[in-house]
Amino acid sequence: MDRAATQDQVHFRRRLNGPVLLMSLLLGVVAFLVLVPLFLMVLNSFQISTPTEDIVYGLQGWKVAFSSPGILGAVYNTFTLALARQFIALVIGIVLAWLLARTDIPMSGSLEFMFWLSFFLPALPVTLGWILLLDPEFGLLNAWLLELPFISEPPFNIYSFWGIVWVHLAASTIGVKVLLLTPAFRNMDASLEESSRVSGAGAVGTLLRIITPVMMPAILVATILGLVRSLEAFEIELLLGVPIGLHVFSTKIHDLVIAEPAEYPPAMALSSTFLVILLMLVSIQRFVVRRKEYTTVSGRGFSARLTPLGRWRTPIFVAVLLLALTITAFPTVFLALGTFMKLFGFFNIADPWTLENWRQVLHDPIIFHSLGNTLLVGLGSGIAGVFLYSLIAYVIVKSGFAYRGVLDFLSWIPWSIPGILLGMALLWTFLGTKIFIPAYGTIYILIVAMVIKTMPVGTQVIKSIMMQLGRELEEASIVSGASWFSTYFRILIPLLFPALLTVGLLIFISAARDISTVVLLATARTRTLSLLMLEFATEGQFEKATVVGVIIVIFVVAAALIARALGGRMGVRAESR
Amino acid sequence: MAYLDKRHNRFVFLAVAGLTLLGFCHNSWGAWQEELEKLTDAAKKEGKVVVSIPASSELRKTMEGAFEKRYPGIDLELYPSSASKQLRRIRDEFKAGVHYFDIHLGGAGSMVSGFVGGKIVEPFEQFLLAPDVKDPKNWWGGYMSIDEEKRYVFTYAAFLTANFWYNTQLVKPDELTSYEDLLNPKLKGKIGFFDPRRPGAGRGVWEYMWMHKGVEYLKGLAAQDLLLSQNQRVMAESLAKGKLAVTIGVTYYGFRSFVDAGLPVKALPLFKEGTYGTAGSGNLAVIKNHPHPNATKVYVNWLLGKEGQEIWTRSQSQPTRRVDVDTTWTEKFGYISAKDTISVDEWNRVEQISAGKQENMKTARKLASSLLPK
Repeated sequence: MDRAATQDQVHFRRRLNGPVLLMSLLLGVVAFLVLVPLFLMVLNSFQISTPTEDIVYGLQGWKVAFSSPGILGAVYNTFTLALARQFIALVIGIVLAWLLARTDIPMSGSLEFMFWLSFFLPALPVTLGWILLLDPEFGLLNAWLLELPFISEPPFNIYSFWGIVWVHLAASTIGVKVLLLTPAFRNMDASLEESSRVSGAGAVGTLLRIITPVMMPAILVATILGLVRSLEAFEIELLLGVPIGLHVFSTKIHDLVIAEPAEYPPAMALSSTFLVILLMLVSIQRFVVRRKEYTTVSGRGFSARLTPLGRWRTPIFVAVLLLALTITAFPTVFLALGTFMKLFGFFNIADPWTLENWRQVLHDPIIFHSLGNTLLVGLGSGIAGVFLYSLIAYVIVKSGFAYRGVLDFLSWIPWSIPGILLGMALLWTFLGTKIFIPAYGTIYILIVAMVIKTMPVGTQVIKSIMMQLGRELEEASIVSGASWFSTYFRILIPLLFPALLTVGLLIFISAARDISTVVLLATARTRTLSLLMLEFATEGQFEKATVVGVIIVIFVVAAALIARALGGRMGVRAESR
Repeated sequence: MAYLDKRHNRFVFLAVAGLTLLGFCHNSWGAWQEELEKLTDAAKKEGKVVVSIPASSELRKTMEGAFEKRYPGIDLELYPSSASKQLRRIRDEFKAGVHYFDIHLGGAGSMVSGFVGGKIVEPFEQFLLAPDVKDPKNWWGGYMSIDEEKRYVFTYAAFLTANFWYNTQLVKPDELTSYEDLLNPKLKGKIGFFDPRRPGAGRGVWEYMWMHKGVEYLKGLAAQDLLLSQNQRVMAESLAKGKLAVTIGVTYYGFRSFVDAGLPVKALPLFKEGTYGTAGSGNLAVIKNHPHPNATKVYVNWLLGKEGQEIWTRSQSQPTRRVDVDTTWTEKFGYISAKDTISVDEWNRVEQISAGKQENMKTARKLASSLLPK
């Protein structure tokens, strides 16, 4: 990688300074968008006066944060929960990505889509669905199993450490790994595997000793993204952990933010630790991938032959299908059922079923307005984000720009700020920056906010795919007389198209589901479906909130189907299945 | 004849006085109608009025529909949210010179400490223009305001509430007639309390207990292994499923679906020691430098008029103080209208929302933080 970078440095020095100026401008824009909210967050962690007093700075917030009761236990729980589920999800994710992208498993496209679907489902109703099944006193699955003669105690307890791990795995952690890793695995030249097998290695040996090391950039990105997200997770912990006294970092931050008056200084002090952790993780990632080549798509031909599973094909297919159904079909069925129930989870009341929830939501004048806003925010941030992130990734991977390492690190920063505080930091940024004031209160400010929020995942996914593209493809284009723009749009973009679509879809889904980033920036007229869902949930109208949740799912599934249809036409394809 | 003359003169005097009064009222109502017309025309040019309201989709739908029907051409933008989020946002916007919200409707805590304390609201009296709104006689207790200066927050609701609910299969109502009954060892681990460390009905009950039962009582209650939650739905479900025998601080709206479904949950009658007075979310403040001054006046006078107060009471079940709005029916939802049941003096004794009372309650709040599990 560094050898290629040295050649690129020579190459760029010979050209006009225009590209350097443009890259500097890009760096400036990214630095502004991510450092200002971060700076405001850190600054406000030292602000100790009450909101009605003049500003005074001090360390009181930090003292309160790190001496609050139970903080050490919360830190311990945070790390153990995060590591447990990330490790399990990573192993399962790598195996699934390999099976779906590199083998002849039947219905690989449909199976991959089912794992995507698990990522689309909103966390709150999914968690409630699992509580319905696995509550130790009232869970349906426990009740059924207790009918068996040899079972005297409920075998499952959702209110436990492993209950939380399971719900996370089922809700999104495995799905996200499949989403992020499968495109990267798909881009691998099969000749590497063939060489391994010819040398005597079996399928598992090839997976462990050839494929996994080659896929290391994508695996590391998926791991870091997953770990940072795990450290910030709190919705599921709030429902399943707090009732048993199992607190995590983010539930502590949440408690501080919703206090009356809100205690932002200690909340921001606590969340500053995420930045330190992120610094460490990103440094590890850069150390691991330095001085190595990860090119798998080059100019000398590309083989995408699949590994046959032989006699294991059917059993493996059944196992993957069962897993996919467990983490998607069950929550989807209960989510849909919940919208037709008078009271979610209460099957034995008189007339438990009703259409009234749907009727009331669809007759609410705000529903279609919110749907339109969601579409605009999703599309706007998807298109703007893909454009921005591909440029950032290109500069990091393909250019000799002296500050590309800084740009790489900056692109991670939005995920160092927990969602519940990012919205606050962005509110301060937009209110404090004159150029944003005309857009304040409009849909455009929500788009900018989502582009900032999804920068880490978007940039890193495109970056890891770009690292797989050899330079000779671009060089051949330039030698043939094409300009940089022509090469970028006619060579690189088509090769990256599946990844760009995936990233665009991820941004779209994030925008459709996001609450914490936009709740302080939206107005009555720019309200999205997720905020409408929050409104219903806050006032206890859970069934109506679930109806809106289902509408969101239908919305994003439709977007995903369109994305997959487009991606299938232009991406790198495997040989016949 | 002199006697008849005296009666005649009295009659003439009363007739003239009555006609003058009628004329005066007619003239002032007529003057108001003219002013309202001018205000409405000006408000239509402004286009909208933006109001921050409590999280209630029913209030949003009903209020928007009714106001926009009454005043077509003036958009009513209602933004339902929690008070703490709105307060932060409105204050930060104010500091940055951005003015989006015109009015805030909400609970007492954030109103006093946040909005009034932050000096971001205007005195309300200048906005009371309609004769029926301006006349203190139309309001039980006259003008009522919870801030210290009694100028900035107009309180338009007043009621008593305790929000104690029980599972009819686990306890009988005659087992729970006093706060002391909650200390029964039989109820250990079976009492849910809507987190009193957060604003809301749970805090109101806790503060009342502190004032009238004392610290030792609260220590005894805290030792009952209370289930604390900030989620009304979770607590209502726990009661309906029999995980809990009693809940404290969960409102009727948390239980409405469960009552309609025939599940074994019911509201307890008030305990013999009484309960506290509150306005719920029925407090109004106008934001300083609000961007739509004419539309704001139109809205305030509509909200505080008979129609607006009927809509408020119906959608929130929180009884208004307006004397011409029927509020006797709200008791079945756990909200006892103050104007129908107690005197103003009694109200002043039991209310817990005015600035002075809130200041006193800080000790109770600190006690909640120290006694209750982290």
